[in-house]
Amino acid sequence: MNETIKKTEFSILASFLMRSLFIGWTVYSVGHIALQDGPISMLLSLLFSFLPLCLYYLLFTFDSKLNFIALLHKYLGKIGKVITLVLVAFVLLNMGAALWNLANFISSQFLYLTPYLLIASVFMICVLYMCLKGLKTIGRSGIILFIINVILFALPILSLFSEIKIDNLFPILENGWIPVFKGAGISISYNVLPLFLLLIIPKDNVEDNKKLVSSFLKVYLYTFLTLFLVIFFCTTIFGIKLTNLYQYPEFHILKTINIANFFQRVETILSIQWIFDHMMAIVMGLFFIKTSIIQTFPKVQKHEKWILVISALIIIIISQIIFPNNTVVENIGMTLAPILLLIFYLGIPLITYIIIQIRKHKN
Amino acid sequence: MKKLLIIIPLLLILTGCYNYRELNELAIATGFGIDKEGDNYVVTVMISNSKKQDSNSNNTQAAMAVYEGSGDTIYTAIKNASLSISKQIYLGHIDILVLSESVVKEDVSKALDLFFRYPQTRNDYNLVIAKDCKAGDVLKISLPLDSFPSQNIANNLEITSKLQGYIYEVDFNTFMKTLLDDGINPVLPSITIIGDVEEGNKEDNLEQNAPKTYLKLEMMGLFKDRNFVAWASKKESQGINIINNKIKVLGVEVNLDNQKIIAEITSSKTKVEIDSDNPQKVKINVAAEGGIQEFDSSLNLTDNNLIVEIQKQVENNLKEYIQAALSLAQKNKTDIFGFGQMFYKKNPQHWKEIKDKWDDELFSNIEVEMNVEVDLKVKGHINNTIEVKS
Repeated sequence: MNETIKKTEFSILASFLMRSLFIGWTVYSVGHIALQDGPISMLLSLLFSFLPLCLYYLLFTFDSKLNFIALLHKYLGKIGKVITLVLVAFVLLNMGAALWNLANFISSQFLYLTPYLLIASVFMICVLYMCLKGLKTIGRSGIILFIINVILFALPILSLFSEIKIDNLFPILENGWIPVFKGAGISISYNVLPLFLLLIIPKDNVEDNKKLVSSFLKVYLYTFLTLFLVIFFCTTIFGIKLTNLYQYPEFHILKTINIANFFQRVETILSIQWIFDHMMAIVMGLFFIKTSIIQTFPKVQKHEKWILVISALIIIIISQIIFPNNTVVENIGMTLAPILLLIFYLGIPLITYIIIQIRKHKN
Repeated sequence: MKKLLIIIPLLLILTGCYNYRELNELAIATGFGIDKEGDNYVVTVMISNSKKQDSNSNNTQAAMAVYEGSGDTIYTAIKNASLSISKQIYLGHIDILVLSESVVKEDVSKALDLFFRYPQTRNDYNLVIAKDCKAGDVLKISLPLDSFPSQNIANNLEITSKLQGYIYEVDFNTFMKTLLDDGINPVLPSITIIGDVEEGNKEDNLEQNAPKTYLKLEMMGLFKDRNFVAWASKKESQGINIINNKIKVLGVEVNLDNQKIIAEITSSKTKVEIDSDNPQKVKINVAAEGGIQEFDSSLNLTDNNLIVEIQKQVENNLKEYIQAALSLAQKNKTDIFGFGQMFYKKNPQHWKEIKDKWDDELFSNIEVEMNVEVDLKVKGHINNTIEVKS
């Protein structure tokens, strides 16, 4: 892998990955499990999220010239290649789910008469174009979209603060700590574990990587603050029962924005930030798939474009068939999905790291 | 060439014109009424006439058009109403949702489910009950000051809740939140038609200096769970507003030595405290400020003792309003003040035990301690009574 990326661009990609499964998945699951203690769950998840982050950091810095897939191949040989293919399959599934979430959000909230396939295809064209242009373009696009996201997130804050009713957070810990910890676990699964995809970029390919940790942490903390604020606003403005009744309460919260009877009816514009998050996350997923396949089968490198096109088509097909309806998503969202994310994005890297350490010490 | 082959189809797809709707193809609903006849819902949709807004339009055209449809569900009723409209009904600009008594008396959530789900609706409009009239008729009354009855009701609700203190605005989300939460029941303001509906439906009504038919806001309606149970009187409505901390301005009439004095409360803060061990002990603290607005008396207003006396009378009147509201709610066994919810937030474990008997048994026998403090700071532009020379 010869392409490089700047440290800020790398950190910003983390922000998109963290937010991509937030709407629809995290808000729904944390709201239903932790109830009004959702904001506490988010704070706890920030605290515990440093554990997987440490693991990712260890893998990232283990050999600065190699990405995770190369590490797998170097230390696990053929088994490493099999694991790579399993990971590719899971990332395809994950991106299919993300694309479904993106298209479902758009079609259920504003373009409700537009066919799902059209929405998904239009976004996949943009995703594909970015991937075809390479890592530099992905990084630069990320910066532009991140700046737009920050503005769109900051705009409604003042208006929303005036609507807050802290009373809606009470009673605190009504059902004890267990649901709060479960909520934190789900939040980590959806919002932190997708950062695994960044391990596809070797450390040496990040320019000026000496200050990467501080740059990454700044973006990481900012992103967590945005996630916390969304759950906090939903719970304190709507109350937990109304929040849990809405499919996308974060979108309905935006409908309440009204600054001086002038800045209103802006939810559609403001929610573009969630669309950008999904788009960039799918871009990273597709980039991960492409790079993994090329590293596993070097002969197909000349067909790089076709790998991307075929992967994009598979993602669209998966997104079409993966969930027959919303009810399935709601059920899977609180049970199977976080467990799968734990197995593939935390379990596999953890086992790999242990094996690598053992083999390294043996040698 | 390859790039061109990709770009040309993209230009066609990404124009943003797919499935577009021109404004003149939409029937923008600004008001919505729901009545019930037998088992059927009758919906009344008030459509803004976009042609009227055009400067070249015929001035004799009405600014709005009202269509009705019926069906066993709200959805079917809307679809039936749209059979008579040449445009697609758009629900994203509703100002007001009027519900008839027949609808609110039987599980109001059934009638509101569609508004929750439908992607077009914004849920920021206010809800109002049509008292002693049909919800559909409320939307048919033409009034001179506002182009649409829906706008008239929405503006009237806003102004009255700011300046009168016996009703307050309840938007869709707030109503649904109160309906869903434990330990609290919702209230809604009401509206009625004064005069003849047929006359009010005519363009003539707009041209009258004193319209023969008009709409008048009425007092609050109380719900128990999902059903409407009672109307409040003016005094009870004022009490509800005081306890629920919704007072912005409130005029209080005081009788002193058979002479009338009007004190206007311009700032009021109510704090309700509930015992975390005993949910049946509630303390209501009201701190209000205001001034004397009208003084039809020969008494000496420069005497501070008189001001103190008036303050006491105002305090007593406010206590009377609060007591009236409490008695009405307790009589109907509906906790519209959220005392139960306050207790739940303080002691959730105990709440689980008493939740089922709260409204019917415990709330009805609640002990309330009232502490009202009124401070009349100003007397308007003049200091004393107007003395007529003898």
